[in-house]
Amino acid sequence: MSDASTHHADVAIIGAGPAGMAAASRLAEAGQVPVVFDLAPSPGGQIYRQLTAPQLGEDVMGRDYLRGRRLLERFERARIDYRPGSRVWWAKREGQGTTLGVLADRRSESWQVRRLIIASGAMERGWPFPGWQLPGVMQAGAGQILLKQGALIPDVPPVLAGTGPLLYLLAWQYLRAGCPPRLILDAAPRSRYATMLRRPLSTWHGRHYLLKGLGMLTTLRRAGVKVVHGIEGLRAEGNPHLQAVHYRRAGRWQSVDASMLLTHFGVVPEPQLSRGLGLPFDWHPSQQAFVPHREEASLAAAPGIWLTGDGAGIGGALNAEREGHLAALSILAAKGEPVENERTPLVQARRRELSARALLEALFRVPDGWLAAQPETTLVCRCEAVSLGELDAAMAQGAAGPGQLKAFTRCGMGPCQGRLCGESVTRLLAGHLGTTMNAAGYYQVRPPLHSITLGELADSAAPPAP
Amino acid sequence: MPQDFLIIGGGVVGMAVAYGLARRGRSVTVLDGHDDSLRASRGNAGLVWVQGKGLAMPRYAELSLHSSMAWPEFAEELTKRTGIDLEYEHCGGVDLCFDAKEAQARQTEYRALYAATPSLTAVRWEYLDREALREQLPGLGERVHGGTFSPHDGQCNPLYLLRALYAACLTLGVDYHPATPVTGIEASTTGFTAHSPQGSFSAERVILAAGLGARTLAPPLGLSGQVHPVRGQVLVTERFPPSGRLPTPQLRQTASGGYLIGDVLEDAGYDTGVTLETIHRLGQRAVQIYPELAQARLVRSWGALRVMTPDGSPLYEASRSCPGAYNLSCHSGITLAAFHARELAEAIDTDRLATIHGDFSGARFDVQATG
Repeated sequence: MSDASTHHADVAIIGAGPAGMAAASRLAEAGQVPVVFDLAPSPGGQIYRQLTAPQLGEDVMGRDYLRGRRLLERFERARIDYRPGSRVWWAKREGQGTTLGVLADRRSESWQVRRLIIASGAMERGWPFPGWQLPGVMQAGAGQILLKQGALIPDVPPVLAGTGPLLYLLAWQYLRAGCPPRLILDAAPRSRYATMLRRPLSTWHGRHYLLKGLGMLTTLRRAGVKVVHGIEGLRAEGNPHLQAVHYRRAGRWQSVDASMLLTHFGVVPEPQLSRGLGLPFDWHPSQQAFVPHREEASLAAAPGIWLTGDGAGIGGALNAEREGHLAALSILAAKGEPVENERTPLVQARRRELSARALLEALFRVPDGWLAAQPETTLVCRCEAVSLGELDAAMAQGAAGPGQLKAFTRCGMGPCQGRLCGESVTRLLAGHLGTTMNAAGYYQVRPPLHSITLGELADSAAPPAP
Repeated sequence: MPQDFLIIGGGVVGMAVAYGLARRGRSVTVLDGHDDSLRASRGNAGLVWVQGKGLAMPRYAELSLHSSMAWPEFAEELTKRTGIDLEYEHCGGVDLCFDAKEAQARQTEYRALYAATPSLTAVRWEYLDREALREQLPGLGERVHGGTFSPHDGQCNPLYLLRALYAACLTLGVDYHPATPVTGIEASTTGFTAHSPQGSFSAERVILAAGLGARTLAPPLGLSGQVHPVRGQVLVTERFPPSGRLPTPQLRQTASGGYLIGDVLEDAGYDTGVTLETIHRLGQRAVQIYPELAQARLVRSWGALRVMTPDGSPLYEASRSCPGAYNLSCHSGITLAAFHARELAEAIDTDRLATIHGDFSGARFDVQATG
């Protein structure tokens, strides 16, 4: 497609989080004018959401949030074709570049892009347990969005459960905002922290994260927030709204009354765009996630496509910023600019950062046997209400791949496009077939990558022939 | 003990015949491709459709009518065996026309077709204009001119049909091998051996139900396997409460509430992708049919390849040079499923495919080629 209604761009960037902002700014400083498509109305991504007009101060949000200001200001100063509120709902590799379908102001436009930097970030891992679909149960990331976007704080002390740094960050932020969590249920056993002794180098590189975490934990403890380590099972109960949270520790179930449960079982690369483009993924046993292939030095995943930030493998905000910068340098180098002196320190800093990451991955591992241990009534696909038992039955009837399982049960056919159940389905198939995550495979991702209405499609169609 | 039958292909054609043969007490092994192989069975619109089928071959129209009549009992039987509801409705259907010219051409075609053989005079159909259609299709838009209604048409959930066939085959002892792509088939004095990277499988007779795979697998067995891909693209919206609207090939509401939009014929080789241009156009047409759908969110889209024969009619062939080898190719595996599971399985089992269904053999293409 390249009729008159098609727009053209030499460089397009999808996402205006740390990676996207860094890439765009650096390219702009070299005289390029990249197009930046972003879902949100203002730049920052998930980490620096609403930082252009913060709803809460440093005392609540913490220093790391406000640190983004420097990057934000640089982005806002640069000459960039920045398009907020743009949904890239369609993407296809065509010829020398990529064609994008971009929805903005209720119209879908077609963009022909020569060089594409994908910086579309991470999403929270979908992690089934009984009752995770109940009103009153949310992912911690959603809790943080409410905090950043609207300074919304729970009106009752929430229970927080799961594993990962975000769990403690959110608990700390709630505490600072005057709403200390009722209870923190940590799936990591306390003994896990001995991991640090076995990885002295990673521990040293990760000392910033560890000290920050330790500080938050101490503050929470001092304020009287109870932390239970080594949760083996979790169950949310209530009708229709959450009333109680049950948790198992050392083989024994215990209960706590709650009307709000926030869970977090880590973040994984948001796969839709990269998978939709047909880029290959591999299961990363340490990140416990499917991660797209890319060239280590250039961050290129295919000719004309670069993958940066948490969407290419979880590395955190600082790493994302460096990767955005590195992708910009790859493009500038191809245009003949000398970039080697600028590259070297970035590559070194990135290596140190990723070494620290390995420690966090080990500390916050999710239990691999979790899904298989859930009761068969547990929903795996919340959109279409498909239970573990139904998936087991379909596998027993011959569904031997994610596509067939989806066809037989409707698992993954709902509005979330399989984002929440994709990993679970692969885990189930790998278990059933006695094979690896890679061999079990993943859903085939197809447009729409984001929501679009038929009316918006119709308005964007070429006028019918007379 | 060698198996009676090897069936190459675990789509809706292969599984219907596997089910039919297993039901007759035959031992059957099904070798299926990978999860991401080309699968028309997972990409179609789920119509059990009679009107307009067989314009080029009245025998095909008869077959479609016959199969649609057998569908209610077939669906009931499968549900009884497996507990799976196929969401089948024998409700009638409407093929829409968007202008007077199209309406005229359609009626002329149908009149000729349904007068072609005595048995086809039993086909009931009528042209209804937009006003008349509004009863069956409430909310119909101004851009629609009218459509042909036939009570023989209906709809089902093709994915649940496929699942029910799997479940039924399993209970009947069919030996199913997923992810076992067949690379070649060898004929011997005792039968046939199919080779795949997962090993070799033997049986007395072999049936190709391999969709577009027939192109390479059929000729070495003395079968034509003349098929080519014709791409369709389909959109599905979010769910809505049941509207009671009759299905149309252009658009239908599924039992789970989403609207399924399709009816595109494209020559795109083996590309199963969806294109921006076609998705826009399908959205536009859906809104023309039911303007209220402008608010509906698109949830899924996909492309899939029809298995098309040169004249669009089914290809049922028995090999002369390798007796016991058969090839089944058709793009109408849902409508014809009831026929495939009964009469076709029986004709193969009793080795009378060439006698009873000779009209559908590959010989008809040779005649055209030389004549």
